[in-house]
Amino acid sequence: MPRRFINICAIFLLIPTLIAFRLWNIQIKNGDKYRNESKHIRAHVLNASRGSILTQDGLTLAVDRGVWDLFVVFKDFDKDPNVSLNNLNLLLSSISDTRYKKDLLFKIEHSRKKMKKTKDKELSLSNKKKLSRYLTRLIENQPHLLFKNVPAEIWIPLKTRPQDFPGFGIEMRTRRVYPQGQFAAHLIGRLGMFSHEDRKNHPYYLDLILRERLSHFSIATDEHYQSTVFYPEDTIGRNGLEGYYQSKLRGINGCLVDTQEVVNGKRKKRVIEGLSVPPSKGWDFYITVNSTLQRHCEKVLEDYSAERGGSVVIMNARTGDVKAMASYPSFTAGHITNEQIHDRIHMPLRNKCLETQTWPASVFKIVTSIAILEEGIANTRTQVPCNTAGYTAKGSRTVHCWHVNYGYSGHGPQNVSQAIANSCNMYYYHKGSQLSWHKLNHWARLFGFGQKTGIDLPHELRGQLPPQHGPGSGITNFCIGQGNLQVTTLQVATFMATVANRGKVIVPHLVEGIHSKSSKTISVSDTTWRAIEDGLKMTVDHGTAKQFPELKRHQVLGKTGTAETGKTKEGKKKPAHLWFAGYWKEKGEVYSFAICLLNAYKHVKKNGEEATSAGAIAEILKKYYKKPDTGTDNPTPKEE
Amino acid sequence: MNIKLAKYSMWITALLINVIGMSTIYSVTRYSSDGIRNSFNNQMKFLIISIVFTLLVCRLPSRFWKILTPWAYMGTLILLTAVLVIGKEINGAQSWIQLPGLSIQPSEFLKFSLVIALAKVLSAKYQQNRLQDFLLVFFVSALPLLLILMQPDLGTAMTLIPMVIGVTYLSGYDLPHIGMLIALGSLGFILLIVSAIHEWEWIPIHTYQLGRIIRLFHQDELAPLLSLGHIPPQIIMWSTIALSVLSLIMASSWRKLIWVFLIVGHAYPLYQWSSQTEEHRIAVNEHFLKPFRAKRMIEEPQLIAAKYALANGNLTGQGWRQGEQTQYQRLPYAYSDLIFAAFTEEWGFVGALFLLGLYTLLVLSLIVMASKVEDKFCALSLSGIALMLMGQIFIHVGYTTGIIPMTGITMPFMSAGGTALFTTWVGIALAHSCASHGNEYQR
Repeated sequence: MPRRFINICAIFLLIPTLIAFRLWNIQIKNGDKYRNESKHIRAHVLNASRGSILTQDGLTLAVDRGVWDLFVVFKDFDKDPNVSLNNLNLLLSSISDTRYKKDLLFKIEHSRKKMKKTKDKELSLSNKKKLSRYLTRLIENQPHLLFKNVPAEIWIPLKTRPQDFPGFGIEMRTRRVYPQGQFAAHLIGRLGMFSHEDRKNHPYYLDLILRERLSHFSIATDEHYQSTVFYPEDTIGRNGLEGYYQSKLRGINGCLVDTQEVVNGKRKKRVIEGLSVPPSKGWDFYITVNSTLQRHCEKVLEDYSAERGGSVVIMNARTGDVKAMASYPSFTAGHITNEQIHDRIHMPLRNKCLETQTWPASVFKIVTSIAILEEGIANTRTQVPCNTAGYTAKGSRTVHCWHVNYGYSGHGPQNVSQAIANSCNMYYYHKGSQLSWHKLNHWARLFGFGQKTGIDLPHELRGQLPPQHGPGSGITNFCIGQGNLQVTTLQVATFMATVANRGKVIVPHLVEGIHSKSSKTISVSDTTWRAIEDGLKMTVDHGTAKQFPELKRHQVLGKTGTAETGKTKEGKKKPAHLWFAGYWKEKGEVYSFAICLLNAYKHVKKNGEEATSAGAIAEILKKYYKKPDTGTDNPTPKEE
Repeated sequence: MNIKLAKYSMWITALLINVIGMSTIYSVTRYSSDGIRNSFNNQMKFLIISIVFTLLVCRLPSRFWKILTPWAYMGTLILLTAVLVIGKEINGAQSWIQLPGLSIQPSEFLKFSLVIALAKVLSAKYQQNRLQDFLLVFFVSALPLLLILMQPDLGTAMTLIPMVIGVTYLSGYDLPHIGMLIALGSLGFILLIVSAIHEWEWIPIHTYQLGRIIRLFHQDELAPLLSLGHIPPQIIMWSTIALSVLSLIMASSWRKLIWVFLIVGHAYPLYQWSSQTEEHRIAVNEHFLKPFRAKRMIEEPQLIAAKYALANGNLTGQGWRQGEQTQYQRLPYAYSDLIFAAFTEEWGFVGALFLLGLYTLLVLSLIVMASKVEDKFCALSLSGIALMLMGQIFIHVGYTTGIIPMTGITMPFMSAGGTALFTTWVGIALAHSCASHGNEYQR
């Protein structure tokens, strides 16, 4: 064989020898050491803290706080009880809350009795006269909880100099805290325990162990699992932002991998750094809600709402940031009672802005106006007389404008802007009935009705557009926003933003940046927009919302609405819902809003006045733009 | 040993190793999730396809392989560029193309294409030991290697480099040219390390790969046999750069000086370094290694798991389907990257020696066939395959036992990987046909 081949063969024989030597080293010479380590290798899961939810102006809405519990371990305590008791008593004397000092001895004795009971039970189960040393050690090493949530004066000394308190131990728990109480409770949502149904959608630790037959070690050290798996007793976000951003808020659990090794005859624990990973905290979310505006909205809603409550949404029309979203009645975040869950009248746990849908009534007339103008059924100057004669559709009974129904003589000849300003039904009866169901459906869908807006909150309702045939489907009802048509407050506010943007559709969101941006623009001619804007302006100037100077001051453009809600079982008419939706400009920003007070028609407030939706908005604006007396941090009011 | 005996031993060892591999994969994937258990079924499928294909193709004359060479080489180059563009990224390396139903790994195809491409180039008639012939060899092998490094897939590149060097050595080049090839290779390697240290962006090696090299030196008292103790790579790096540049400049006329420089250049700084005080050595070491002192970076998790698995094997192993680490899922990638550790846990030191013996027999039979065949192309392709296999084995077992920094290489015939299995069997077909027809008179 040629020389070079022989050289190569030599190398090929050398390599396995090298490897064999190395293997012998690992497996046989030092094998015992590694085997020992590998048998006692254990992975402990380090829980990650949940991310916080904050507002962009600095309020903390939801945060994980550490809470400390005091334990006693009898094995160490009984070695020298007097020393640690004396020290602890000394510590507790300096605290104002005497409860700790009073109950300390009692609780220790109580726990000791429990331990004795466990020992007796174990003894009765086994045949021996004495418990094995292992079992005794196990029972004596059990920590017993003495006090939950101890104050800093107790846990700081116990943590910094544990040698002064032998037998007492201190452990930290994390607890989700909602410092703002009722503020924005619907937006925050709630945490619930991981339940049986959730197992279908999320990986669960016990399922992985039993069905996939993974080991605890492989789950604990795998990054993918530690960011998605749920352990027993874990919490999962249900409603609101806690629920929508659950996967990002939860963080990634870490693991501490340790093993035992025998060093100089003694067994020592050693942490394996390479396999241990620290937990990473969940993402923090900053929401776009303006806290002063939100507070004012909640207060005004509470004032103006009737028994069934109400909802208001204010958002930045250009970007889609939600500036305020309030729903009344509200609840205290973190404390939900059984009563609140089963209260079907007030429904305090529902975010009425998006989880409740109702008739839009006259607010929908804007869509009808745009449809009428764009489909060429009328132009901006066409007038329709509104008088006592009423409107009779083919084969139907005569209907009248609400003006006539309330005893007035009718609005007279109205063009589209005046019809919006006066909310005249007659215009829409005449012109709207010439629209086909297809066309009005098309325009309604274009403006986002009948679909979700895409906000980052769960359980959003889609609303409903009336079907072509069937009960409640008449075009007359459709035009004026009654019938089978259902919308949410959020849809109306988003629609108003689209109108403010002259057709550019935005996606409302609470958290900036994560959401997808919409680039759709609805093409509607400028004359139509001008006519609509004129109508909205005239509403506030001399139309249905003329009695509020605050609205005129901030040049609010809006549309009122009164939704008929049908009759009760006894035949009495239920109070109508009150709507007001529109937008206003302030320093280059455009804010759109929508408010809906459920069943609040002719509701009398506490101060004796009648509640109106436009009045509520006026009140909110007044509070928000009020010049402060002391000159502290309020947003600059509009110039006169 | 004559060719007939060598051929038989090649087939038998290949089949035996395959069976051993399947049984190990079965034992490892028994209790894991469906996705991993699929790999066993996948492997079965590919095994049947590969063996059928090999049996069909192995009777073809070697002329067929010679004609196939440029097509295979071109095709692999195209696939390698395609995978950079439309490839799927798994574990940080963009090495797979996803087709409906299966995923292929073009770097595996390269293992076969590069062998026959190099064999063809080196056996061409115009080869005369000139610089331009040498440069042709260099570029033919460097181009796909560069594409692989862009993925980045260091491990596959590491297995191909010894093959390139070995095949050029066996084809009769002058030793200084071989030395230049090695020096250029090490220059490239040093360039990679430097780019990782300074985090240059246009060379896609990650810092974690550099960390693996560093961590190799940090294993506890059992220093790896090739470890260099407390010598920081910087010194080696600069010395090798200097030497490589020097050897490039001094071309054909002073060939012998290159060897002197290489040897002296490595030995001198080593001697200098070892004569420094302990404190100074530790201080320099600390400065260089500070970024890698992060807690996570000190121990290599897969190395630890592999070490435990090997130790569990002891002398005779724990028995089939009864290995602790494998059954309790504590060994990551036990079906592909650390399959040797899984096998050793179940069959012990004795089993490992037996497996290594099988592999050595396979490789030696290929070399024997290569030495007895007259046609240069056949000889070179046979030895190329042998070198390829040995390179893979050495690196795989090397990183499992902690001699070499950690990468992810498939063990030939054993690891779960459809493309790899298929390519290795096609290599066997090539070997068989070269051995059978290599002695005929070729035009």
